Amino acid sequence: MAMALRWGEGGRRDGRWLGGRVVRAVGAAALVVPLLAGTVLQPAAAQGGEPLRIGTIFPFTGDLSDFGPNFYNAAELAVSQINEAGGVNGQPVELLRGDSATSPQQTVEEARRLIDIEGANALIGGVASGEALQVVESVAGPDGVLVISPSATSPALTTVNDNDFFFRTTISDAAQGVVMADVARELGYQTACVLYLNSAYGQGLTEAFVAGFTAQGGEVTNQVPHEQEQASYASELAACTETEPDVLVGVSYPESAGVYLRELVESGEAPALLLSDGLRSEDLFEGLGWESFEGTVGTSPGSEQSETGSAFQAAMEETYGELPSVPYLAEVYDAVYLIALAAEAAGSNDSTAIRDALRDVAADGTPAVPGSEEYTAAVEAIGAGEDIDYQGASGSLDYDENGDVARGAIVVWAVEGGAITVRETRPLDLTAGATASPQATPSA
Amino acid sequence: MASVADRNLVDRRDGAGSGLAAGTARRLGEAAPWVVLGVLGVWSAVALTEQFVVGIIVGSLYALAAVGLTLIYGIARVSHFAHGDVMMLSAYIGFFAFTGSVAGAGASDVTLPLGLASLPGATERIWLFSFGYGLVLAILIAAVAAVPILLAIDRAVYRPLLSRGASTAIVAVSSLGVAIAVRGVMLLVWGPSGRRYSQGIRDTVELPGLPRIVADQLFILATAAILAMAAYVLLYRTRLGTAMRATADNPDLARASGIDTGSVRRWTWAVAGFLTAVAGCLLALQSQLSPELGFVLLLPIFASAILGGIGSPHGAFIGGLVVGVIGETTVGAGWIGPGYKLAVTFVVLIVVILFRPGGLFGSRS
Repeated sequence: MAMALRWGEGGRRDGRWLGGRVVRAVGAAALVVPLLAGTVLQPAAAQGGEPLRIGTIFPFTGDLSDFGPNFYNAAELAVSQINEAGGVNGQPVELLRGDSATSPQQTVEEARRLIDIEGANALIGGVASGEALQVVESVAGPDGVLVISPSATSPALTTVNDNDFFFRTTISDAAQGVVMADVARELGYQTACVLYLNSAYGQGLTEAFVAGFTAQGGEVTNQVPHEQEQASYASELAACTETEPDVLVGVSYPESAGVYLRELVESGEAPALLLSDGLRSEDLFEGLGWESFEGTVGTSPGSEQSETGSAFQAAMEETYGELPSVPYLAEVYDAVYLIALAAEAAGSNDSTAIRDALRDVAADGTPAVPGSEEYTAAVEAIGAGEDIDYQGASGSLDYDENGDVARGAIVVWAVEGGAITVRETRPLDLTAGATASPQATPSA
Repeated sequence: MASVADRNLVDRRDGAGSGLAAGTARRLGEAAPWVVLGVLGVWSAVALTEQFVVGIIVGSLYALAAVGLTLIYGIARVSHFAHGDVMMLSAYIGFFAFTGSVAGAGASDVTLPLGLASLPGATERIWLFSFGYGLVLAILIAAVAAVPILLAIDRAVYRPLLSRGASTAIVAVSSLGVAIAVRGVMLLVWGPSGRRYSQGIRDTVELPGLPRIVADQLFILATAAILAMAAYVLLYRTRLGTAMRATADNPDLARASGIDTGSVRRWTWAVAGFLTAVAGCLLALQSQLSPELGFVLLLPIFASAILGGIGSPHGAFIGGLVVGVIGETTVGAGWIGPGYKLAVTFVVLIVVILFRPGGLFGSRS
């Protein structure tokens, strides 16, 4: 042992000069490479010789891994339609792929990679609210890069300090929480216990639900946060079932719920279930057995049935063989179109210019819808100096001053006969304080 | 081991310096964690039976893995950060042996026609368990397969580093690299979404005086107990065990007394691998297969080993049970949110270490 130690030290001493040189060489390279990248590559991108690069950061691994590949497919569909119509500013659009691993830290690292190394002009991603918050606070806001989230629903994102570079194509959970509360009361539940993922998403939606439920005379017996990836959720479940609520409200993602829903049913003390959008996953119920969850109800942001929405679903089915049952696909698809149309209207691929044009192309003007031919028509309208109003597959997408969509819809879904079915779609208008939404009290 | 010797020296000096009272105070301080943990244990078993039972089940998984971890640390001198991931990899190997499934290029799985589940009657359920003899065989295969995997990792990574005089920190960081690589393999081969050995809802049993538990959990408890006893017999009743403990105490002296420490080292990896692999399969039976789960559970497993006194196998086993029970009962009592399970566990760990720096069983060795 002692001998080995001395040899080790000797080796290090002999190698000091060589080591020093290597360290200096690496240090010099570390200084020079970003300089080169900054001075030579960036201006070229801004001068329009480069294509529009849209970076995506979706969860291919981790708790939300059911969603990532499907989201990427939806984005790819939009890009292929746009490129078929000639691309943006005369160049085909490039779609870049990042993996968020359902982790805020990983999302920020991928955002940095996509922007600094791959030259993304805008990002779609931050799928979970926690991921989106991190990207907005540490990348989008400070660096002025446009970020659109298709699915981050936390009310906290409304007021986040984003320098106006953060938008979303889905409606805030201030709305979903209200509808969840409405549904719970309509089903006759007096008492509810919320089991929620300890994250921006879980907390935000839970607060909105609790505010709505108590405002309507319901009683919330307990609010229990849970962590991802646990060996057992028995004590979390007990904290809820001990209070004997009429309904257990689950606000989580499928991987954790796959463990706790099973334990809940096995405990024999399962109350009725009301589940959030994160748990609208057919894989989840497939693995646990559909029959144990027959009649379970949930909510998720959705859209009123529209021609545009059906056309998108048909295109997805045609391109990928089946329409996945995960929510937010149309929202991903619309985010790509919004970025492309805004870049076209701005006549530039610069992130700030795209951002400045985004609200204009989304509201007031000649209606424009997604699709290859429709895109050509929209580009021609822009070329003729017309103002366009993008009407997406997910909804009309008009933005307020916070970058939130002002009009949307919440879908009420249910587990029925071995499938997830949509029971009804409730349109919402948040512009004139039309709902008793707790938007005035966004979560921290 | 040097640190234990040093501390004993310091303790003796303290005792001699300040007389009898200080000695008594020190002994009281060392006994305090035992008394507190004992009282808490009895109280929670009576007042919070349901959470206590779940704690014992989860704790028995930590315990098996922690015994492997502590053996590797004590004898092979590696702070094995890849332990959780190797544990999960073994569970996936069990899954593969059972179903023959790997993730295909698209969304669907490719199932090779060689899973044990395709043997006649292999999925016919034993008693109320959710599985038949096919899964039991698959767990055995996983446990045996973990041995060459760990030996290969040791041969390729840790032994070359140690023989070049790499410090503990370097070896620990290299094991972190191994952890990431192993997780990558799991993601590549089986994909990111959660999997289960058996689909659907499992049968439960109600034993007199105990809360209702899933039948599979009885299997978990029984297997953990049998393996713990087998490990005890191996370590304290066989020549190999004596050689292992001697090597842990003082490798140079062991080598000088004619013990083939290289062989002892290989046996250690083998024993630790077997225990860890079974723990992984049982974990998957209790919870699910997920590539990230192993790394998340690495923290409580390390806490178990340190609480029991790192290097002490029986300490690690008791430590695992204590960590499991504390995690479940403190949140079950409703004093604190379930999100802080691990935080509470670590506060208890820190307090115990303050009173007994060597852990519960550390100072005896």
